Amino acid sequence: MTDCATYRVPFASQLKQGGQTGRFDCTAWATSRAIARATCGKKVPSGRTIRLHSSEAIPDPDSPGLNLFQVAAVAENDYGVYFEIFTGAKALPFAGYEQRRIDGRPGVIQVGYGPIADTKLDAGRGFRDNHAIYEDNFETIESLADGRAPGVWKFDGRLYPRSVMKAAAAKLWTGSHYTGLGHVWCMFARDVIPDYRARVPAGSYLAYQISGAHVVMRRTRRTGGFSGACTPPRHFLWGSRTVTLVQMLSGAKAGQWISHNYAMEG
Amino acid sequence: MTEERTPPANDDELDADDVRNDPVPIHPDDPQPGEDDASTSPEPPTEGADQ
Repeated sequence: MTDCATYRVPFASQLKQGGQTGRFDCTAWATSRAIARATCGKKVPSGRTIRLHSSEAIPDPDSPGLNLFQVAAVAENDYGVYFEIFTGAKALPFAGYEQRRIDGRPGVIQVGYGPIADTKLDAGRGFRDNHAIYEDNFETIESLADGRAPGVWKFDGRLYPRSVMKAAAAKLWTGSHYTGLGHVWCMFARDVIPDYRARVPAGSYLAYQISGAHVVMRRTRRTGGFSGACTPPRHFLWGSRTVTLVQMLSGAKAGQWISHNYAMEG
Repeated sequence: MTEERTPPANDDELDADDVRNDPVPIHPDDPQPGEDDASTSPEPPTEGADQ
């Protein structure tokens, strides 16, 4: 049996090994590396497999990449690997990201590629947009770094300079703004699925009706306030939009789906 | 009680976490990707053998 403490995740090239969706699949490939580490090498899926098992097996022409919630769902459902996701208001400070990484937790970090492209580690051949990269306590696996052409960095097992990764995390484009220095959108594997609780204050809130992976409708409801156990956050499609929700598990509102903004661990 | 069956244009709860990676440009001299086994196999390929 492989010793996870010393297990080194193998490199994989999203372009050379990625099949017809390889150029869209850095998030899937980074997640595949994280699953490998989380299972000590027992399960080493390809990024292509992650893509095919995702809610978007065929890339959306308008937005062909994947987000962290989509790949985390595949990891949990197909490989039993739970990822804790830190995005939006729950993004980590860089120190918090580093603490989890140094602890040995396999992680996927979302970055803007520009700060990496500006170094000798550049493997994008002009690419400077949103990208996803696998990191752990040993190494950075950047799935473009395959040395496929002169001037393209080739993976050598190193951990990328922390100043470069911090700058790249700050350059993630959210659609309306850059995340900014000290904000890291990422996910980390976790051995134990944490308990979540939601607390909705008095006033109005939105309750969603779900069918499979899709929102069917939502209603505005009024409440005097409630709280209770809920599921971890899950991602749903609503037409061309997306929303992250939790389902109440206890109390009078058990069964209702509400925004994950009401939920926290513990 | 308001009921919505289509997503509104502006809503803070929607798309808030939906940040995706962008496509990587392909150059003419990039190596061609390997055969896409998944398109012809009922079970997508798994890289590496179980240990």
